Amino acid sequence: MKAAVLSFPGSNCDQDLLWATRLVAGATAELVPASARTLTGFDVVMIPGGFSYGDYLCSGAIASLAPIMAAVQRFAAAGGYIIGICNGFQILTAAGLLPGALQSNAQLDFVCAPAPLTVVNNSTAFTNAYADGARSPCPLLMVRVTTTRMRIRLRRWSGTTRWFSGTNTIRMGVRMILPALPTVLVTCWA
Amino acid sequence: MYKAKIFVNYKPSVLDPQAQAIHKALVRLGDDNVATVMMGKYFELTLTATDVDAATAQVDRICDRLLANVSMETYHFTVTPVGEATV
Repeated sequence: MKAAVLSFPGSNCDQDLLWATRLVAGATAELVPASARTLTGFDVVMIPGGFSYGDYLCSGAIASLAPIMAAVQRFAAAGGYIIGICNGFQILTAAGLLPGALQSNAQLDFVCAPAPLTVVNNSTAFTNAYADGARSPCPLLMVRVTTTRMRIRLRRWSGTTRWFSGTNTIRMGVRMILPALPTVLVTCWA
Repeated sequence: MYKAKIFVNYKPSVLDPQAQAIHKALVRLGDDNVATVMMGKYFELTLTATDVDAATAQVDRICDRLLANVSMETYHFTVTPVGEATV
């Protein structure tokens, strides 16, 4: 499996993601700059955390218009697998690949704590190694804009790929509900 | 040349913890008669265009596409030829 780890100006977890993908997952991974225009040959696209473009205007807003994102849109439309972590989640939302929008935590607190997740759908590419109903703590590092108040939404894209966007309550109880064939996974993990 | 003055702010239904924090700070300063605080963004653009209608349409598109997140924010703007007095 060959992974593309995108790198925008201001991404600061790109090297970590590259390291984790190569050494922990044992996959081939390559850093792809935001200025690149093609994702040919990659099986999965990973968008790391950080502060792309300084979070200027709105987190992920300017990154969503970077040259590589046209290729990401095509990749997603073709059913390619995408993982968005932290700022990567924000970028995918700003790019319209996920519904809704992200807001600041109501208490303006920086939250650093594990959140309990329950897998309620283990027939997806991202969760098929979990037993149904398995619980998994998810480390969360919520800097500024992470929580959405909206309910789980499904969205169809080209009739084949479905997304999900998780809710995250202020009390940190998180349920991960995945549709049958998701190819986009987003997390609030750093 | 045209100048656009653009205001972007949250829709009234959206919780704004920053505005709330500012409000609390004002109360601590003694300005406790301030009833509401709304915080937004202000942009100024200068652009060339064939006429004011073309400039207006383009600014509207710019707001919708980039400057405002229309799922949470609203915007309003004025467009005037450069050199004219603006409000």
